[in-house]
Amino acid sequence: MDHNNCRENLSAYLDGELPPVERAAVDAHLAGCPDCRAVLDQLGGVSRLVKAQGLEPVPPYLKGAVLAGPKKAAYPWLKPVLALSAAAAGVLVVMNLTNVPEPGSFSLGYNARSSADFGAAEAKLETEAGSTLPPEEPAAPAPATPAARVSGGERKYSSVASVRGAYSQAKFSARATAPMGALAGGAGSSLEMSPAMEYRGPVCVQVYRPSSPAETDAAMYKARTFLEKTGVRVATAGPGRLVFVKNGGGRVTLTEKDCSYGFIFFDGTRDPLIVPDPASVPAEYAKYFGSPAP
Amino acid sequence: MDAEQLFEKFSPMVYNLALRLSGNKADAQDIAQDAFLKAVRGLGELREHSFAGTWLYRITVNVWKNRVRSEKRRSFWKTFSLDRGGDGDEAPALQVAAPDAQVDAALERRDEKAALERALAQLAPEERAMLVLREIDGRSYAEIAEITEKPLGTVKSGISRAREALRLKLNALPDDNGPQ
Repeated sequence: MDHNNCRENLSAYLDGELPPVERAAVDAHLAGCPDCRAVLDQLGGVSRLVKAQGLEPVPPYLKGAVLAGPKKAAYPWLKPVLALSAAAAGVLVVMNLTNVPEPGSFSLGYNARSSADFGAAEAKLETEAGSTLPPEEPAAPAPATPAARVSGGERKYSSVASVRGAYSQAKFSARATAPMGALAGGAGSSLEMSPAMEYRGPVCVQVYRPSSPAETDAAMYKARTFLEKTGVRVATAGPGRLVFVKNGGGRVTLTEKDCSYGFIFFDGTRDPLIVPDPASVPAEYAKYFGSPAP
Repeated sequence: MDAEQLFEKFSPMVYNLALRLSGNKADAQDIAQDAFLKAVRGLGELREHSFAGTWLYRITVNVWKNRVRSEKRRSFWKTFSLDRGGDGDEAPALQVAAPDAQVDAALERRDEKAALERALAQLAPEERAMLVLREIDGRSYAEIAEITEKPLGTVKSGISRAREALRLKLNALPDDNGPQ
């Protein structure tokens, strides 16, 4: 066995996965090759490191979600009732506030709607949030580029949460709506972003009062996972509370009472800001909804 | 074996397999849940419960493959992560106060762990999963071939490539964090 052949087989040799003949050949080569012996030692070290890495803990809600199984629609007439109660009881929705390049104009359009579709296999709860903000300045004519053509300067932001079994999954999206030509894929592409869109900085978390501790756990866990992806550090997220970690140190706890309804803005430096109505978004946060930086 | 026993026994590995395949916790949670729901539905057809692990891991890999094929979410997450200069899953964990004497050792372990995580993240998802099935769950090459639906030779070369890539990356570390 030559040097290259030996190297190719060292990993399987380490695992005891070589047939006897090949194993004997590797043994013979190793006896006279200190380089290959050194590589074998290092591969053993890699193996030990990966083993020591261990397993990530399983999210606590997963068991309940699996054992609950997919929800079935037992009573079709319950659908509108469930939709209303789901909206009232609520789930935590993480919104990724995105914007569309549109130099010279600023306007937000929010619509509030909740519905629940309890299908045979899974239930989905969809929430679109918002109301309308007045323009920061008079809207400029829509730009000529197709990617940024927005009728009347109106933009819509939506988020989608899907509920499967006993847990709610915070998903988010900026979804194409009729006046929002800049988003790719139409209304069905809820998880698709156009390259024209841009995420900048802070996140906004919209929280409704959860209907059960299990639902809260799941939603908070999802929220935390998402928030950490955005760079926001969340120390803990448990039933009815989120603890944010500020960039400069220090923690801010939001309780269920704080979160019972509203939009939370957090940019990592100041205390999280809770506004009950999107129309009252203050000017210092409004920039995050505007045109991208040049 | 009922659904609860199945979950208790295999959820750590299923979730971690999903995590290694998808590369992020949000997808891993969905994949693990879907895999278990499918498995529970098909549990009655499983004749040999001793093969439940292989069977369940295979379902997990297939759920992941289907998601990759049918969803564009992955590219969304990727774009999002790049904007932030890295995947949120790789962000350092929040630190819990530790006694002073343990701080240095903890930091050293954290550096090593972080370096290994970065190196693992650069592997191809299936090679990463093969390595985890081998190292963490102690699966044989034949079982890994069955789980991933790949030829035995592909498993052998995949694990070899994965280890070799990790070895080279860890050797390149400036201090003594190498795989010795």
